[in-house]
Amino acid sequence: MDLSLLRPSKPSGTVPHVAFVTVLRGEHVQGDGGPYRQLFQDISAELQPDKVKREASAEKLLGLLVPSPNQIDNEQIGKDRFVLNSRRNSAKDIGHYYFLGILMGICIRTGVCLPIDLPRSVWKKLVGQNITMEDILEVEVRFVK
Amino acid sequence: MLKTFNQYYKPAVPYINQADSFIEIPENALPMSIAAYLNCVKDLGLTPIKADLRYLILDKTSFKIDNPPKLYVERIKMAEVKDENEEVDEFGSKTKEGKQAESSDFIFTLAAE
Repeated sequence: MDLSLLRPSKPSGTVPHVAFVTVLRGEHVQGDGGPYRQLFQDISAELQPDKVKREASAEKLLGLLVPSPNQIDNEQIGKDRFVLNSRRNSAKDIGHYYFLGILMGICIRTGVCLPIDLPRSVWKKLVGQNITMEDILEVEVRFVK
Repeated sequence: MLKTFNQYYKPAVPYINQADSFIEIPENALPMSIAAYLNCVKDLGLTPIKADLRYLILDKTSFKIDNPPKLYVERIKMAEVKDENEEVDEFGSKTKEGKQAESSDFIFTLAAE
């Protein structure tokens, strides 16, 4: 698919700015904005399942993002953060990470929220900033100790 | 003074390197360019000017698209399948226990494909 199709210019007036039209089959919804925003919320829930869901169906998770060591250890710093799963390194998985980047770009362009709790070290690398010891501390206190 | 500064800053802002640090360049070093030097005073730039820059970038890199792509999602069906699997798991059926996730189980993978 041509990715430039996902970069529409901002429409004038009250028309919602969407990169694609989301059709929720079997659900009676009006307008494009609501289903579009809901889709990103659903994707976020898939990427970051809560603890109960993780324990109930470990093998039925997307697994692209995993809880940070601090979250597993129940540390006070960065206890809600998720990190990229280093075990997911097949060509298909890399493609999925690439797609996650596309989704992030779409969110920036169309002003929709994709709530994912990545540590600030990830965001810093994305914008070319250097990582400090505090950034590592946010992910894994044990490593710094 | 700030107002005058911003008057000249506004047309120059697309040419200023807005990064806080530069990879492979030591922290205290500064590349020899006007763009890099202007970066040091970027805090004096007013927020509306920076917001305008963001919109300018988005506008210049977007296209007029008449028929945007469509993504069909069957959330109800997906939820039903998920519920069925959970019910079977509760009764301990071996046919569905340990069933690996498929790409059709997730909206994310559906959208990616």
